[in-house]
Amino acid sequence: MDLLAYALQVLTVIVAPLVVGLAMGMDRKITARMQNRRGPPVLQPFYDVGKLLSKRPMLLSELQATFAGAALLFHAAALALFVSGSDLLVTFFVSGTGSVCLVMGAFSARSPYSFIGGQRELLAILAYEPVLFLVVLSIGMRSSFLVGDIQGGLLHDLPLVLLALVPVLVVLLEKSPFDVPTAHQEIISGPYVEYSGPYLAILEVARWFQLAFVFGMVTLFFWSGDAVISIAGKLALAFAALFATIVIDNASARLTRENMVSFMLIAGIGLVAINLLVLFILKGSI
Amino acid sequence: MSAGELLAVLLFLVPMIGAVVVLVGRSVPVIKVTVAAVTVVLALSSVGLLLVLASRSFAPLAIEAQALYPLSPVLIVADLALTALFIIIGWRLRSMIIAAAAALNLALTVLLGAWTGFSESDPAMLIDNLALIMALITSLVGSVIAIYSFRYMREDPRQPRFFAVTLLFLGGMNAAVFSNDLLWLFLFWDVTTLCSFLLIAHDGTMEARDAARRALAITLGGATAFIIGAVLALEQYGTLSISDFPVAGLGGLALLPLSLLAIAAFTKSAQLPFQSWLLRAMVAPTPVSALLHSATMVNLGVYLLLRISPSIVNAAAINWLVALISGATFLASNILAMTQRNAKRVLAWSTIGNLGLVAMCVGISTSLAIAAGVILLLYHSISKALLFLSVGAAKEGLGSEDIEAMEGMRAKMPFVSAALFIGIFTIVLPPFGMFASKWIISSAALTFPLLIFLLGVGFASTLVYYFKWVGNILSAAPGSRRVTLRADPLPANYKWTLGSLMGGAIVLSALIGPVIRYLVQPFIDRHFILPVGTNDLNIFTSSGEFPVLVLLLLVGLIFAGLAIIVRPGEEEMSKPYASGEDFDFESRGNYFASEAAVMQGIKVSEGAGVLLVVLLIALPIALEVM
Repeated sequence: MDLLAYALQVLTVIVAPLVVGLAMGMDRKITARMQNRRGPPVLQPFYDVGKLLSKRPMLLSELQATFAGAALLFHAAALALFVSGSDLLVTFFVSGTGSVCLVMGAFSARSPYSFIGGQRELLAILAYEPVLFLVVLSIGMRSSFLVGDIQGGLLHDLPLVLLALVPVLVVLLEKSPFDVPTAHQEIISGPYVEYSGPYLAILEVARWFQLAFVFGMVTLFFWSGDAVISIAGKLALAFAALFATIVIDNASARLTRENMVSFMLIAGIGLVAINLLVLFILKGSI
Repeated sequence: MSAGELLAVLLFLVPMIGAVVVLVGRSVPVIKVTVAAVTVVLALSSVGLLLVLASRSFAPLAIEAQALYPLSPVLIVADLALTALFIIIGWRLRSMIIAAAAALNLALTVLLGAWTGFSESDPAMLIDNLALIMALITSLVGSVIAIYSFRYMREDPRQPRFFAVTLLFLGGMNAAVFSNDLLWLFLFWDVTTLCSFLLIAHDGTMEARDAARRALAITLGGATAFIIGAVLALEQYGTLSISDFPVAGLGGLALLPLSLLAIAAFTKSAQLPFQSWLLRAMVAPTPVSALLHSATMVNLGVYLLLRISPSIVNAAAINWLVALISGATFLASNILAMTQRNAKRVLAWSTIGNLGLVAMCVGISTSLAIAAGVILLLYHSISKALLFLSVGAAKEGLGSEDIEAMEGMRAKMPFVSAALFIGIFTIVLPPFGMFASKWIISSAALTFPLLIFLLGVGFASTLVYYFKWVGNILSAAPGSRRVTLRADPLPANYKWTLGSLMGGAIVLSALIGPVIRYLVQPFIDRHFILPVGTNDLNIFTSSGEFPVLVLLLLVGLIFAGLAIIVRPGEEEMSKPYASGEDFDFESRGNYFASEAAVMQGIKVSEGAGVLLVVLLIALPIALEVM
């Protein structure tokens, strides 16, 4: 039984990023339909990664490869910690280290667009990390930070905290209005500009792992005693969050850096604060 | 005299004697031999003291005043002489504030002396695990800084003065953390004030004198708060012995001594609104900055807070104010650090913020938080010393302390770059030592939910300013000629001192389990219920678990693995993409705020700090009146 649970966890760590890849494909399809286009096949992200892997490696600095690999491994480690039911706070910080590795990779290639992209990515981290941190702490405040111990009631108690996760997802999915770091029309995909071929594929997969962790946090909000209902509800919730970001993406234009940071911090922190305050008033304790 | 007592006395007396020898000897060889001998004694004695305490399963070691008989009369005279000296200094600097504060201090010291009949409370010195941790930091990190100074200060014409004051500083610091009698602590508190004044003024320039004057005015004002607090403590609690302070049932005026001691601590640790002296102190030579920020001085303030934390914890009326002042300091300093382009100023704001975090832990007032504070203080000292000394070494090579001057430094000065990376990683990233305490603080702050909002923004800002800096160092032009780590022409002195701190930071990170169990836990256990658990591999709190060694192993594997897999030279090197143009660029800017905005930010934070500090004094009085 223990071995089975262990195998199931390993399987989840492998499958979850693939599901995210599939969701990226659906994202492109839905976005295309919203814009009256046909869009690429749903499996396009996998074709892309496959194609990139087959290309000739080119770099500006060998450190780029090191940091790309480190980003992948840190994000994968974060997902593994999350799936194995470890401390959510530790998981959050490990995932943050992965994001920092992307920044360092961008800086280690001395290139104007990459440099600006790195600086902007840092600002994006400044914008979403505090909100994500507060989401993690609000979840832990109820009983425990151990993912394995978190059970139902999150959606009921912390609906605004879930709402605060949506702009975070917008930043992480590199969508308007917060696609500041990677703005392809302005700075040609920023931190990724000097990556190509297999290294770009590594970064793309790293992003899938990162998103799997953050979407995993979204799924924590739904819980049911019945395993089937639980899994169906979790997937529905994650898809709803993804759909919300797609709508926002198509309905908005890019904001400036300052707007991104101030909006994220004010809205995100505000939502969490209001939620905790209301909860405190209703329950007398958090 | 027992072995423990002997080692304790060695720890503060030997550096002081060394200071006299340096002043008398004056020639460089004499200085080097003396300082080297003192550092050896400090290192051996501090580790010896650790072993002695370990052999008595970390029961505190009390030293009666009689055991130090010939010393105590000397100390009384020294106390009065030092306070009188401050009056003279104030007079010569034509600073009314300094002279007035010093005169008040002298009067109150005499009053206290007369009140107690010039006899110390027993035990006069008490060495528990907190004092031991502080002594280890001062002795070991301080020794590394002193040895580093051999090279850094080699062309300085005032070397005898510099090394004498440095040694006196280390001795004074050790004596201060051992002191249990408030009057003794006051004397050594003033010794560190004097030493910092002399060291900041070391260069003798106008700017240095101004900075030193500012530092003296603020920290001497803090000393006045300290001595008034001591007088009130004697009046309210009937004792000057810190270990006899009441830990429960404090209210009204009985809170005032704690408020005043906390304010003294805030001046020493450069918390808002008293932070300006530490920033101006950046004019001093780099080893002085390292000393002030990691081994001595600012640590003493938060040490005092931790020392009186058993009383503060139960003083519900004021501990939230302590948490707010230091929490505001943490937030403001981290935001302001993002706007700085001088590496030493970034580090200065970062120190202020980290000490704020330690003080905030005392304000949160749970055993978990206080444990986190002690851990943070320990690991911060090592990493911060490493960062300052690296900036000093970088300045020798680059001629500048600006972050922008360090652009692409990894190609030219790989050793210093590695030292900076390790210093920054051990401060910011999991699973190194400082991260463990940040993790515990995050859990601990849940009992004070307002603080989690400050923490969130503060932690993210930390990432921004440190990695902006890392980014500049990394940004080396492709194809530029690289110096390998082994061929780095850095002087051997720097390689050894930086190397030992790098090793220390990493090894202690791996040993955090034992550090918590044997160093931090015994102090916490004396006053609080069990907060943090450890089985040496993992750290537990009631609400979470942090697998330190697993993560450390993972990080090690990640980088070792990548170093093996990624072979430089096999890939084709391309040119940077620049829309078809061919140009180099300068990585300027990204400081997000104009000079005026920064000034305004400082003013607003100082205003908030003043308000909260006034409240900290007014609240006990208001409670008494009501």
